[in-house]
Amino acid sequence: MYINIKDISHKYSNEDEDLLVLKDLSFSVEKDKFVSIVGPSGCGKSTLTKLIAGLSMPYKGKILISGTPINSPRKSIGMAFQNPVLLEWRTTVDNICLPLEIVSPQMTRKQKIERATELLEMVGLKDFSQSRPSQLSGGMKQRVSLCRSLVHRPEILILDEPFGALDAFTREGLWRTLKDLKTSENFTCILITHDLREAIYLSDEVVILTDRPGTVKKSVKTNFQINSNSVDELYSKEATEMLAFLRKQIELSHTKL
Amino acid sequence: MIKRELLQQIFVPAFSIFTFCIFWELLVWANGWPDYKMASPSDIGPAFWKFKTLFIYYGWETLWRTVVGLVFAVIVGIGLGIIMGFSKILRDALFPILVGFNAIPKATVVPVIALMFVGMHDMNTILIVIFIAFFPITVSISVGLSTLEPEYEDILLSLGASKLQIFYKIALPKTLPEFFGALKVSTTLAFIGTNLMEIIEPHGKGLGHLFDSGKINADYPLMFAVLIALAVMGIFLFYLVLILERIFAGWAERS
Repeated sequence: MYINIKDISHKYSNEDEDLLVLKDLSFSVEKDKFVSIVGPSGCGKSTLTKLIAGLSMPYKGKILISGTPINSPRKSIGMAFQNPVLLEWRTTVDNICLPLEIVSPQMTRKQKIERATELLEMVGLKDFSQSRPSQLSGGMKQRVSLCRSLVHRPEILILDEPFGALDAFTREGLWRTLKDLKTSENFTCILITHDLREAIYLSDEVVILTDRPGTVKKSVKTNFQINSNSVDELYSKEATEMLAFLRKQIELSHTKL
Repeated sequence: MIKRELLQQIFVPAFSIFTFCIFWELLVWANGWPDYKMASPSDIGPAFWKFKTLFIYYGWETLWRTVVGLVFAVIVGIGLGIIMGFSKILRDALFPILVGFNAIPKATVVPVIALMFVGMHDMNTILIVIFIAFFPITVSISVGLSTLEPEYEDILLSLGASKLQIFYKIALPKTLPEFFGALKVSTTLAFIGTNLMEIIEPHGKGLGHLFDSGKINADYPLMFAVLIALAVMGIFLFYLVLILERIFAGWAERS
């Protein structure tokens, strides 16, 4: 197994009480697979991404990547969030170059720009390389954010609800872009999402978490492939049944909302 | 089109100043106010001409002290802002002291400083400018840094970037628009600082001294001329800051 998450628990402490957000959570991801993590809001999904990225340490248990436990951030990880957090004083292409400035300072500016332009071309924003983020639409910003998370060729891509704030059609466009990127760039992907259709469309496996404290309730292999680029297949009988099955697994406690 | 915009940018303010002067002149003329009550624009021109060398000499003295003081205020302000932006403990520790210090009317600090550093006029003046002008900068920088969205840090931290890299790649440029907003306020405050020192503790230098001698000689047009000179210098520095803002934080402007 490539990413191995073993019995991790995590809690946030404030003055008078500890809040346990993850409890004895384990699952693993094979190399170059795409795994989605779904679960009710507040079940510790974002915490999980921070732990995998090495931004904080689990309170109990450990996370192994290729057999080595992670205890600090690694250069081989890319991240993108719901908020695209682009730097407004940089052009699109310079925004994408940002990780390279940290990870590969030996690259010349020309090489960095070449790599960034290559990705921009893939997501269809080549003509916007000199635009400022304030001149881009929400979907375009998210495309740029995806490019930035992949520019340093990370082995693992962590996406924390990247399409959560987009309208339905823009979102479908982004799904296809992400699929294309996955084919050409080769990375292992962990996607946090609230959208079950998104999970089915994109991933090889869907991990469902319980309510807080989050732990794995069920892990479901999407045993059919949506191979064409068409989102229509999401409305096939097979896909609909799967959606219904996944939906049943998610427990919402209405009292807490 | 661009040419038309440029013309408009020059013409509109020039016209408004001209109208203001006409209105002022008419007001004085209609009320029949004598010179010692209210000088009119037509008196001020001759006053400038009469003391033109003094205006250049003293104006320069006031200007360089203000600018030097402002530069130090920026350094002190940014330094304190960085400390308070990054450490919550130091923010809690320093804020009451700074707010208290800022609340003291600077006119009352002037004699204290003048006594502490007797005879060191340049330093006295520059000190007062720093005291009066650093606070807005400190507040803007500390707020800018402490309200940085955590995702910005996560993007770089997940790649193993250092705190310093996050500071100069993200935090610093991101606070620039706030910084320039504060610098505009500080620029106008700085002139107040210089003139407080020059007028309350006269040491025979700067436009404040010229104002004082106008007062002693009951030369009202001269006093008004000094006020105008101060205003012109204030506008000059303000637009200088505006140009710097365009260069370094122009990205924040939306058309």
